[in-house]
Amino acid sequence: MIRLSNISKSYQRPGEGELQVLKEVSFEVEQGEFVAIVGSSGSGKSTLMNILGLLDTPDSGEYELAGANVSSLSARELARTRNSTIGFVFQQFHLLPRTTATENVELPLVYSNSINGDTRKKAIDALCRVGLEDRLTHYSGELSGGQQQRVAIARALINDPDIILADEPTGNLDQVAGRQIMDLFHELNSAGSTIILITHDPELASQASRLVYIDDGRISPAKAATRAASRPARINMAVTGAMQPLQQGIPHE
Amino acid sequence: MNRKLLLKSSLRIMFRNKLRTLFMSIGVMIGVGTLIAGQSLGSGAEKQLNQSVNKIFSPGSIMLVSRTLTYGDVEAIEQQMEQVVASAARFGGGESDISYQGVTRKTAVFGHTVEGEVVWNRGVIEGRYFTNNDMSKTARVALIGHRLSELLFGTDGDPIDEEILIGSVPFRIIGVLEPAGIDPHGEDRDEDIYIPITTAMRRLNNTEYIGIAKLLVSDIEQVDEDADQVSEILREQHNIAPGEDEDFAIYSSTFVGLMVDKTNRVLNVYMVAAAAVVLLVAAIVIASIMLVVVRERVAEIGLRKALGATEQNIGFQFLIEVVVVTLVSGLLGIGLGLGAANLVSIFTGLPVIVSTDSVAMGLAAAVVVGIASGILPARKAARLDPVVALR
Repeated sequence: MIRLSNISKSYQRPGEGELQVLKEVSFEVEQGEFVAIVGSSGSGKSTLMNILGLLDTPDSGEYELAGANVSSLSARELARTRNSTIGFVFQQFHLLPRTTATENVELPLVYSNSINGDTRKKAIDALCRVGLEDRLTHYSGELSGGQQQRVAIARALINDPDIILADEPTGNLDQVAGRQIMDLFHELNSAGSTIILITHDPELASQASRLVYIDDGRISPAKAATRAASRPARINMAVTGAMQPLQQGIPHE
Repeated sequence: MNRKLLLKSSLRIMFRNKLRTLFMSIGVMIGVGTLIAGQSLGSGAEKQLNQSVNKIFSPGSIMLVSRTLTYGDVEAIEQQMEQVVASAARFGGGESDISYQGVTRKTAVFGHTVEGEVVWNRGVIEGRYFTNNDMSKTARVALIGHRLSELLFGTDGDPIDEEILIGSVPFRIIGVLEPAGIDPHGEDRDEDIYIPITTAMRRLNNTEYIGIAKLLVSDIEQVDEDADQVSEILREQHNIAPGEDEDFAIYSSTFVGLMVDKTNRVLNVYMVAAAAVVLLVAAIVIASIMLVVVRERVAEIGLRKALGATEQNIGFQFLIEVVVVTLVSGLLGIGLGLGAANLVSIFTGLPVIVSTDSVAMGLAAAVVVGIASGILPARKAARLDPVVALR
């Protein structure tokens, strides 16, 4: 599904010279996986997410997404790929203000080339999938943080993306709402969605079926192995929890 | 891209920020309103001016003006130019006191010939016009403008056969002149008094000179050539040596038509220039508001790009948002302009003529202002880096 090989990225900082943020990063994500990318601030995880999400382009290296090499796409092709292949979930939700839940979820369809049928109905279906069928006409400001993030997830789902990129999705939520959002990700993952969770929080990351540690611009598999080994029960639980419904079939489609 | 959804969202945004939208609209509304009001009243005024000028300078007419113009001059022209089908002298005697039973009114007195009825294009609505008999007898008879008649005899009074004094000379009223309205100089031609030209020259002013004559030629296309020929005849009549200045002036209908067109054009240009200045200021206001709006909506722009919007999509969206506002403002401005024009019309009596051209021009101006003021903010929005915008 995703294959990064030797991705490097550096930024020019005024007065400080060049800063290499990513150093020959390589890793793969298979279809249906729930992967967490864990790193502290300044580790390069945001840059990695931007590159994964096609919001930024690497200086060197190859990025293969859903069978296509996307390292060399034009800006227009990148936008189209973002629209059809990737669903974003952000820490700050990024809902349009004074706009209803349904209209927020519709937004990606504005930029979709292959719209046939009722955009409104598609949006409502997506909201039902995240359990917001009774909040369709609520404005973003009238929703709790957890509900706003659900709207954002419904928006990420509406174009049936190949991967969902979630950047600290629980960072602005209380514990209960955060747990519900993580449950929702597990549910979606069980239903077949590929999920990449970007976080600084090892505990949150441990809920994923696989962890990728990033430190100082490099993937550190050794560290990943140690961390994973230190919490075997939790990870196993998450893995089995994710696998079982998948074997039972996809409940929402 | 789904344009229907996008247009819906720009309308929503427009209503969401009512005060901001109002500030963006107001300049375009006033600008387009000025344009429409100016054009509608301008065309109305133009039509009125053309009508009143046409009344005097009907196509194919030549006017001679000279302090030394005599009957002999006009006769010479008629004899030498068979294309002159009619001619009529007019004697402008200046203003005199007109009195009736103690009521006195200062008004313009003109001496006219029998032919004046046709050549000067003004007959009577009551009573009779002058006859050759009136001319030869230098009769003390007068035609009266209907407004002067109302002033002297009341709205229901019958002026026919009443005796008035022009200065101290008694005249009998034999007819009421056709209404002619206000002339381009602002004089009310319905307060005129007409008397036989012979009476005016001999009895009132004791002069040989007629002042003004009007000629009608057979071919309106030839009127300028005919005017040149008239000029030659008059130079001969007045013994003016080659190179010497003429003591007369000749105006042809085409020449006057050109002058009128020029006046109308100048008026129009002023109105358009005033509207253009307002619209320019409006465009600057809108552009600066939109630049702030773009900065305010950085996160939204980043989000839209993450969701698949291209630079073109984002630019188009902001441009559409501005154009929707200016176009709606333009429509309101047209309403405003028509309202203002009709209001002015009520007070001045100027006719209002609304042409589809001016409405189309108003709408086009609104769209142009929208595009011109939106292009810079739209470019700025389009070029935002989504990574920076989402941070």
